[in-house]
Amino acid sequence: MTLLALDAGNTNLTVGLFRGEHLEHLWRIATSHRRSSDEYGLDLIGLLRRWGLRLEEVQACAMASVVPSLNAVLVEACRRYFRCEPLVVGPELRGLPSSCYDDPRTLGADRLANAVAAWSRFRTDPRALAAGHIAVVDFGTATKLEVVSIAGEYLGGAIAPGIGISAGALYRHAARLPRVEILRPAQVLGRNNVNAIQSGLVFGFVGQVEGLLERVAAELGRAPFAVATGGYAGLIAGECPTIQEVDMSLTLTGIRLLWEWNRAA
Amino acid sequence: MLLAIDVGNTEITLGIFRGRELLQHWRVGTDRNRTADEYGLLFTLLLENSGYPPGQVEAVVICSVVPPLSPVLEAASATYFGHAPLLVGPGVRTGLVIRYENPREVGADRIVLAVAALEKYGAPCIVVDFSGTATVFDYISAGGEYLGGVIAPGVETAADALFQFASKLPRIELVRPKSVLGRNTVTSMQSGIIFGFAGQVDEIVRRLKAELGEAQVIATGEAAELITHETHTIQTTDPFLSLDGLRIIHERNRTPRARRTTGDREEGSQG
Repeated sequence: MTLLALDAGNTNLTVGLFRGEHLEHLWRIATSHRRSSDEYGLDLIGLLRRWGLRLEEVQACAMASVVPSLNAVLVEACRRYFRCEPLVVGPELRGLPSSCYDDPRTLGADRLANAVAAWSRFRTDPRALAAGHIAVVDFGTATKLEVVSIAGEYLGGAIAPGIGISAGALYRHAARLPRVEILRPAQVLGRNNVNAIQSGLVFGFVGQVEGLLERVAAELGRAPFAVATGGYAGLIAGECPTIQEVDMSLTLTGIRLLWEWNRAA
Repeated sequence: MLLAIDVGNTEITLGIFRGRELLQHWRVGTDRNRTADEYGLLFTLLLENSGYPPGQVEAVVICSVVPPLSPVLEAASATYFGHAPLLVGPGVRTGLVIRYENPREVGADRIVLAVAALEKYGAPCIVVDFSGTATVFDYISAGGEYLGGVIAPGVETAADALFQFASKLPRIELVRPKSVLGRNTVTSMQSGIIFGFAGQVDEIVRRLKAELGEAQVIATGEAAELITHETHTIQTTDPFLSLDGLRIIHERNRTPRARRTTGDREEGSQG
C-alpha cells in the first residue's frame, strides 16, 4: 500500500511517501496561504515524477494541518490529483491516546500525530518502560512538548517559541544586531556579536527544552523517556542530555499510523 | 541633581539622582517617531509631577541602543534642561577594560550595566539584562575585565513572534501556569513560554560558569520580575542597575583629566 502523508505546519508542508511502513521519500514545500489546490497539486506531482514515481502508485492520502486556511486547499488537491479522499487527523479518530486535554478539539493535529507515533514506537522500549512516560519534543516553528504515559494516556504539554521565529524577531526588534547563521559556537562566551547571538540561540534553546523536561520530571516524580523531532532537532537535541532519541519522521509516522487504524475496512 | 536616561529598544528608563541617591524613576515607551520637543516636554512633566523642578537638573547622562533617538534626546536635553548631555559611547571614560574583539560592537547598555555591577557587587559576576527584546548575559572576570557575553531573544519578542506565526494560537497573558503539563492551548503556551524561558536563562548561566568559573549573578531589566523567581541560577535582582551605571559614568567624566584614578585603565575605543 502506498500512502502520501502531508504534515502542514506554519513554516513548511512536509510530505512523506510511505510504502507499507517504510518512509521512502520525505519532501518539504514552503507553506503559503496564497497558493491554490492546483499549485500544491502540481508541486506534489512534480516531486513524484522527479523521483521516478507514477501518480497512480499513490493509493491513499492522509494529512495533519495546523494551518486552518490550508485544510480545504490540500483536501481538494488530494481529490483532484490523486483521486482519493484524504484522512484528516482530528480528535474523532480511532487509536488516539485517552486524553487529559480539556477540549481535545483544540489539540493541534501535529501534536496528536507526534504523541501517537512516539507512544506506538517506544511503549515497549525498555528505557521508556523504566521511565513510565514518553515525552516528545518537536523543534518546529514552535517548540512543542507532549507527554504520554506508557498506558497510552495523554497527560498534557507545552508550546514555546521556536528557534527560527525567535531569532527573526530578535533581528527585527534590535536595530544593531547582525543576522547570524544558526550554528553551535566553539565557546559559550561570545567575544563578538555574531558568536554571542549564536550562543544565545543554540544554548538558549537547549535550555528551553531542558527547563521544560526538568519540570516534567519533577512533576511526574521520574524523568520521562524523551524523543526529539522537527527541523532543528539535529542541532539542538545533541546538546540536550535528557533527550535519548531523535526521529525526524515522527509526525509523518503518526499520520500513517492513524490512517492505518482508521482506513475504511 | 543628575538626570539619567537609559534608552532601550522597547522602553526608556529615567532616574533622578541627588548625589548617589536615586530619588525617583520612571519608564516610558520607546517611540522612534517622537520629536525632541515631545520628549523634552514628557521628561519635564514627569519631573514636575514628582516635585522636582526641571531647573534643578544640573547634568544629563544618556545611554541609547536606538541610534536615531540619540540626537533627538541630545536636543531635548539641551533645550529643556539647558545642558549638553553626556552620551555614553566611544570616547567616554567608563573605567571598564573591554576584552571584546571589537569594543565598538559592545552596546552602550551592556557597558553601563557592567560598570554598575562591578562597582556595586564586585567581580567575578554575570549580569543578565532582561529587556523585552533580548536577554543579554555579560561576564565580568575576577580581575574586573569585561570578557563578553551571550545574546538571546527576549521573552516578549519571542512570544510575539509565536502569536504572529502560528495561526491557530491565541495571544495569551504571560503568567505562570500551575503545571508544566498544559491541558489547553493557553496553559500549554504559558508553560512553554515561562518555563522554557527560565530554562534558557539557567542553561546559559550554568554553561558560562562551567566555562569561565563561578560568579555571582545579577538580573535587571523590564522582564526580570516575570522570570527570575522561576530560575535556579539568579541570586540578585536590581531593576535600576542601568541608572546607577549612568550615574557612575557621569562621575568618572565630570572632572576632566585632573582626577585620573586607577579605575581609568582603558581598552580600545571606550578610552
